[in-house]
Amino acid sequence: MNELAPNPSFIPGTKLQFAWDSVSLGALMKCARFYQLSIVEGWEPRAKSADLQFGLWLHGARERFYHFRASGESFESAQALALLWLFEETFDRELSRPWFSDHPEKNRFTLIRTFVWYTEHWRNDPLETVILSNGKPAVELSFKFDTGYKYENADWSISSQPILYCGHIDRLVDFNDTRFVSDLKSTKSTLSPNYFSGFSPDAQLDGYAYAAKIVFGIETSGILLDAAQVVQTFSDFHRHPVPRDNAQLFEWHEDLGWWFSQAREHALASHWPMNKKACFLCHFRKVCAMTPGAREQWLKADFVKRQWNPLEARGDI
Amino acid sequence: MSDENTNAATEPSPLAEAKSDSLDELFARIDKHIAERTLSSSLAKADAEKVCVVLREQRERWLIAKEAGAKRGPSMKKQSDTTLADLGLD
Repeated sequence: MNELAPNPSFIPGTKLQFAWDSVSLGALMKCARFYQLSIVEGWEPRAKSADLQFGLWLHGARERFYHFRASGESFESAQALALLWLFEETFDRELSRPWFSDHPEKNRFTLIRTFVWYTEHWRNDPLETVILSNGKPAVELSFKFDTGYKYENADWSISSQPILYCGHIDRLVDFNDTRFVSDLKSTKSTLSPNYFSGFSPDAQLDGYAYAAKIVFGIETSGILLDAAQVVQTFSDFHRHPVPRDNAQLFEWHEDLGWWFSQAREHALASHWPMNKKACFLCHFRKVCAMTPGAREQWLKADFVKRQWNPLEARGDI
Repeated sequence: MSDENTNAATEPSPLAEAKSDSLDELFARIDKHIAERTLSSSLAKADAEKVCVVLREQRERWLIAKEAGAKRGPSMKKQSDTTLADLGLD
């Protein structure tokens, strides 16, 4: 098995991550052992989950659709061109066959249908995608900002490396002369008030709202959640504002410092305890259930190493 | 069965031309463009446009079924469930 090159989001020679994002922060919040295995060591299941693949491709197709529209293509032409990209991305050239998913809701057909129905649903979109000064649409915007925190070294001196927070904003939009961050989510759940309330609190959306203010200078009162319900027989769409006020964002930033100090403690002690109340549906459950000496062997059998690097930019079309 | 009847049965129906391509056929054609590296051709784009047309029509049928279900109210919920057949998917 190939060992990975050092992860650029970590301070060289340490297990201290200095460039964080919602995925790595969420991993640490869920369980220190989960964070160790997935982020510090970079273990991932051999096959990406259908949910993850579906979301990445839906975002990618939508991003290309907005780019084609911004470059002057008609609605129908942009839809067809983005669809061709989606077909190609979901075709495995090595195996010479389309992506196969046995997930009833998240498969190639429902992906293609969801993209086309999404663009149809929002054909006369009241939200206008912001056009950047370079003429490109503000979609899949990568950001990173200095959180203002630094690690204390083992000797309690302060590291010179600032701790960064990184991410990708799906889309910046204007609506009634107000600018918003919009985030696209797909789910099999009904898009009820209950679904949308599940995003308050939510660390990922907190980070987007914070970045909107710090990086993009947007005085936003929250995030516009752009949700797609995907089931076997249809795809449906709703948007809902998810409010965040300044006090909530201040609290998120304060908590961020606490989580960084936790990460430091784990890294310096090389101790990543399991949160055994978070094992439900965790893909490492089978590994953690083994006796400690057998775990490495199980990881090598069922997982591969893929580096998670929050510093990687997106949206470079 | 007479020869005349046999011929009538095997001749293409006048409606055949009007029948839109099935999604399976269109998907297969686009996959063939990918395999043959002709995805940037106008034929591939035309096939993608046809996929959009078929899916647009499916969505319109689904919207009608959804609206009809909403009008019938919750007591008729079982009957108004959209099926694969409603969407021409089975």
